[in-house]
Amino acid sequence: MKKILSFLLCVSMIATLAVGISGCGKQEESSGGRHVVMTYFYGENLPKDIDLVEAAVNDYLKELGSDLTMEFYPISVYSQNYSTILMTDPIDLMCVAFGSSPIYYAQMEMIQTITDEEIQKFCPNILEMNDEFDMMVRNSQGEIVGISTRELGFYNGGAYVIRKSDLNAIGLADQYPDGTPVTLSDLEMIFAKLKEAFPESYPIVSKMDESSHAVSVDPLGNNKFASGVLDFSTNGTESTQIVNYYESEAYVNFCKFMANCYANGWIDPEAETSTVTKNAAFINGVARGVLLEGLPSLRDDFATQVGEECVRLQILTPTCVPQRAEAITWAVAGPSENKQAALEFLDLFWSDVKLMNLIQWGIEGTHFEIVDAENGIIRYADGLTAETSGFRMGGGFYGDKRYIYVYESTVDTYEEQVAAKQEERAAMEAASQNPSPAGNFIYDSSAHDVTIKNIEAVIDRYANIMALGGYTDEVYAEFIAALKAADIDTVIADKQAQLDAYLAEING
Amino acid sequence: MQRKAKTLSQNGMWKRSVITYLMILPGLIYFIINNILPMYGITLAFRNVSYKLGPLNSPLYPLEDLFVNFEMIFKQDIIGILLRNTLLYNVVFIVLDIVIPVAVAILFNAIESERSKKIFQTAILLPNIISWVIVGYIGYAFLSEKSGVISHLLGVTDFYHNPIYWPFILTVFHLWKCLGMGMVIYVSALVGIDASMYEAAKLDGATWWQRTVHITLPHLKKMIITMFILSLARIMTSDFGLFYQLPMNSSYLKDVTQTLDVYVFNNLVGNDPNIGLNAAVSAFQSVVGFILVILANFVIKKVDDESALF
Repeated sequence: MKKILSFLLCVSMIATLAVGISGCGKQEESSGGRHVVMTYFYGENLPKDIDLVEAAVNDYLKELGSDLTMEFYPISVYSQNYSTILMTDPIDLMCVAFGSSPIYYAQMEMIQTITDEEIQKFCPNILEMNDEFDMMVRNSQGEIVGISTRELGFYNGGAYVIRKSDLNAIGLADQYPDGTPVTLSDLEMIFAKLKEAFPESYPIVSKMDESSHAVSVDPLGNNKFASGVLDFSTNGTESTQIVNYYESEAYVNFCKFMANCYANGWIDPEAETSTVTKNAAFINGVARGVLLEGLPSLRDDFATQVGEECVRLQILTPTCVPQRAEAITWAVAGPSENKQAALEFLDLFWSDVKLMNLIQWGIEGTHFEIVDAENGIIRYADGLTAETSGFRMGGGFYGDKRYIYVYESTVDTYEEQVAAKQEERAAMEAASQNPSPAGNFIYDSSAHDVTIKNIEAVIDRYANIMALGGYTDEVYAEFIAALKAADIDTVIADKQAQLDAYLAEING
Repeated sequence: MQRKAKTLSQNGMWKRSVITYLMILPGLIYFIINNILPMYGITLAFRNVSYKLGPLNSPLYPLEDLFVNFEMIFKQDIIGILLRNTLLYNVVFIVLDIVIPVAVAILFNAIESERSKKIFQTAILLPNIISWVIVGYIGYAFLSEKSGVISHLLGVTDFYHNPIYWPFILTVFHLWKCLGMGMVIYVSALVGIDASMYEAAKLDGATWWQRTVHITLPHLKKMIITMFILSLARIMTSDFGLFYQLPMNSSYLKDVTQTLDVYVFNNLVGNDPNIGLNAAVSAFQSVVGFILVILANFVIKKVDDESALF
């Protein structure tokens, strides 16, 4: 009996292994033709109606003769696992975002280059849209490596959001109405008063990202600033002189500001290691304010969550820095054999209002109802809410963003919401009027790979410490000396030469 | 007739052994899949990895550039810090992972109450099964500036801002987590020692210390050497969870917490998905470990042939 049982156990283990092995490396084969597999993201939880929406998308696409598989990833996983995803999933269309450089990915053959002829042939709508807003992301050889989202302008303006009642409590509500531009000195004064009025709380609980909130720059495709930037804070948006970001006056001011924040207890000393998110801390009152990146209307999301009016204090002048490391680019994945279908789908995705809203907000009638088609305002269907709705993708990392619907506000009147939407558009238009002089230039750093790695290692070592209030004259001098020793000046000179050549070419 | 009987006997043995061999098979298959086949992946370190072609179809670098990925690693300034941290921590861990578990195993073996033994064994082994993520938060509960128990007791509030403490903190947590498993291995060797040797020594008037030095330790020698050689194989690798999760990835601590494994992880999840470069780091770790094992075994064989692993 024991022998029989042992034998059966062995056989079952071998069979299980065999089944496991046969499953290994088994990928969903792309069916070719017009079947496209694209990446897609969700925030914290996968919406429960995801299959329903995917089926609805395919029903819609069937009329157009193509079909789509959406590969879902949490944003946090996706942004850190491009290489694994490409190695394991049969992706045709992939989103390159979150500070990743499409040029570098094209060099690594993670994404395919696209010719102008292919765009002409397979993406006529994108080509037409491109006349008024350049969405083609190109490498230094002029090849297209991806298509960016169509926005009115990338809005690069950081802000500080605070409850209006708190501003009232410290007697500054009249002096700082919503949208007021503030300097770091203004913020120091506000933080000091907040700390005095609310000693148990902090004015902020998260470390500040200076590139979003204190120093306005265009890094020209290198998100760690290792190769120099155009510094708008110090030199304005006209200069095409590439400088060492860490030597700029604006950066030094930021470092001193952060050191002051920590020394005075205006920021949670555990900002770096704390597990409480800055939004949660603001909502539960541990933080009196929250640092915000992006459009003014995001202030209303906080107002909804804290249940009272909030005020947004503008720290950086919004600038338009389109289509580079900061923006979102869609590209044909390197291993894809479906380039034509991928590009055709991208063209549809960028121009079909119904399709882009279907993917973002779900099925009309099931998940949402249109309130105002002209202004693109919707509400949840049948008494659903944000919590009970089976589908809601807030990110919207694709398409022509001018035509993405927005949900009606729960705190503002309808008129106020329309006004807010118009404010948002005006803000983006204003940012578009303040563009980076470098156009669509992206730095090709392939000649200095090792040097850039060395510079990045220095930045990793010092920059975060500076942002965490670790500035002293000695440490700063050490930081700059280490950057020089890592040869940052050579890389900046190379980048300047490439930019000059690019500008000379586009200026004829 | 005799030959026929022998053959029948052999057949019987073979039949009886089939089940045993079958039981080896799943483990063998697992070993081949998990340990042997991935060895081919070491070639990635010598390939110009293309995502389009796939890692295993990517071309090898030409002979004159075969080590280009390795060159790229060793040209980076950070490599000094990575090697220093990886090597020094491992040297400390190798020594302490032998000395302390052996000492604890000997003390544990001296406990006579079976009930006490079970309680101590469970208590010492428990940390071994807790994930580093959880250990990271346990550490945070002790060391955080605002609410850390140890921070308040010692009046030190900059544990996560000051790298000076971390070589000690990392060592303590490593020992706390790994002590149990090391101890169990040595205890299993101690159980095999003939109790009559201790009784005879006791009758001859040997003290506990003398019995330990002259009976216990010589019997543990082979196990200690085996564990030492196995540790050498991992001298260029590090416990990723210890160095990444426990310091909560604090920027202030990177000088003392960055090891080769943390570097590879940061590369792969960051914006540099250069698989060839990261594979080269892994290949370097393996080759150094392999050479050290061979060397150590060679030296041990020269000194004491019986104690060598192979």
